[in-house]
Amino acid sequence: MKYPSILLVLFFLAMLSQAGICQEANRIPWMARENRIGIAIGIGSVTYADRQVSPLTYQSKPKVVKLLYQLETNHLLFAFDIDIKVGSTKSKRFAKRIIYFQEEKLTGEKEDKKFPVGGSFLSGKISVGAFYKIQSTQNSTFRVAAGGRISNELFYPQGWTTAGIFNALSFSPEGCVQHRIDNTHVLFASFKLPVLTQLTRLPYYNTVSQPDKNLWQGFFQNKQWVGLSSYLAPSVNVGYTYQINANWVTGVNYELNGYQITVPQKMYAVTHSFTANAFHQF
Amino acid sequence: MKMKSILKKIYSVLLIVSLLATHQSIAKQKKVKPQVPEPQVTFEAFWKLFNNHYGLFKVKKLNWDSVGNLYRNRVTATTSEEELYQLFGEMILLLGDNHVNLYPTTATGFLPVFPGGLLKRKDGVSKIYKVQEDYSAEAVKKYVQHWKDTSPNVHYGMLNGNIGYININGTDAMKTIKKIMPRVLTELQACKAIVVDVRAFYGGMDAVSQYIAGCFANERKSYLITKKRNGENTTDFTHSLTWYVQPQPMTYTGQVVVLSSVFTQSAGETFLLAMHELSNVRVLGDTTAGSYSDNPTFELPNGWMISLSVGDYRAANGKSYEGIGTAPDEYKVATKIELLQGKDVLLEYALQYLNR
Repeated sequence: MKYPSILLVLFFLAMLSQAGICQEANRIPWMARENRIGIAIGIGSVTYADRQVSPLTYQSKPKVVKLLYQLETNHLLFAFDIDIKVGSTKSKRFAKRIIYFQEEKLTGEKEDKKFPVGGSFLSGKISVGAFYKIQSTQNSTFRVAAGGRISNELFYPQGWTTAGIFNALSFSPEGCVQHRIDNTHVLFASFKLPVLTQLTRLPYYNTVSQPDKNLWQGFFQNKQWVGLSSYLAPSVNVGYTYQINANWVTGVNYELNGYQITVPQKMYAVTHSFTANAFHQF
Repeated sequence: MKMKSILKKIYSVLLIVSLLATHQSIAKQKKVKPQVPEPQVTFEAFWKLFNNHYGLFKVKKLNWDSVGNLYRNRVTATTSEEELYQLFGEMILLLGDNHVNLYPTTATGFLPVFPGGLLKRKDGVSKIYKVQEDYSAEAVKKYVQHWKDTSPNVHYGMLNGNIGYININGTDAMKTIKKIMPRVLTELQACKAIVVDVRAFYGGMDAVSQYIAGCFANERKSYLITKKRNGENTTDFTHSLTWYVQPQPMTYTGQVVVLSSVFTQSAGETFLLAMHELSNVRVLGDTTAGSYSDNPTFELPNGWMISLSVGDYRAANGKSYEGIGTAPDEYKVATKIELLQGKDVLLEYALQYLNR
């Protein structure tokens, strides 16, 4: 999965480099005032390592579901997204580990119990973004918008250990580029980087038990504001849409997220997701 | 035309990069085979894990550097999985900590979890109790009428003489327990007394135990002081937190007898520490396991897992009972033979005590 990431970054850079050059004849306004509501379904891949708990690297291939809403006016773009990933997780190196319990009852009866070691993976992200359409590019086939996004992302793998759990409420500057090939085919890309994050991780001692608090309250006691040095999480999103008719749009999307967390100890994660999208435009 | 030519170029670059990527991925896949790290690497990780996270070296009066020096030379590149398992087992026995568990995961699962039972030091010797021989739910059910399962962890009913019975064997989610306990106490409010049986309470969330104990409290009392490791130095700890047991909106403040066992562990023991502080409570049974601290699970480079105590938990008097356990007010233990005959002498003794 490492190489497709490089490939997509190159693709994104190529598109950006062409933004100023292409002043083609296709001068359709970017869009009039328009609402889009959509759903995206697909597959993903998540690789993560949490040095606070484990020297092992974990991998999950979750199903991905996104709900999307976009509002576009002459000067602005607004976006509201919900992104859910659900799957199983296991160690990349020891994918077929078995745990063995020997049990004995009061009656003397003995029982051997063996379980595969694995867990479940769940991540959820909710985000709201607002972007200004840079007017000098609006009559080009390459159009640029810049703005910011507030996101809350919960990474919640569950298994024998607490490896990989975090919650990040972050603000990210974000840039979007759209290339309208013609009236029906559109390529787009965006890049964002959280610069200010309220990060919640398990503390050094890896438990959340606190007096008079439930698990979630105990977990969120550990939240702290951090910058890029403690939470580096760039994200690239590229896609293609096909305008079926005035009301319906379909497309495909690829999203790459990288995470480097340094508090309280190091954690790394890379997620990829490929989705097929359908939008209703009104 | 210009646009088309640029697009063509982009697509050509993408195609070449994809081909390269695919080729290199295949090459990489051929090379990668899961390999178990050298035993010495796993040993060092095991030693370091305790050194960096274990919270009870001072309480256990154990010099971990010396333990490392003692065992390090016994591990070589040819040390087998069984030998490493044996060696880690010896080191765990030195700690005498029931909250330390080794999960030796393997591809076939041929090594069992160690100690695989309750580990307790008695008369200077670590003993592993594989079976709980002082409690049987089946025997208890012979005494309890109208047995109700409100959740997997909380059961209740009535004993002879208008005495209520609540059996707690773990902790539900806080939200759940806050619904269950008022309901149970409403039903048992008119009882002359209540027996709370925690002989099979093997652990859970301390805050839930705190809440349940508060359901029997008539005043606010401190009962537990906790601090946890927060750095690699063995003296690095968080500041101490004091836990209080306090009356909950729905409480039973009549006479309460708690039944304890050597198998009452962890959050079951912090529950008992709280109950001991209450003037309306008397504890009958056995001294508990002596494992109070949180014990999260960590992993080793060879894929094995290990749980360990990260905290230093003390009673309100500042004393640590880790490895010792909480003693009952009165010692009385049901035996295996009696339990197999359906006779629970501790429960009978509790009834006698309450009917005096």
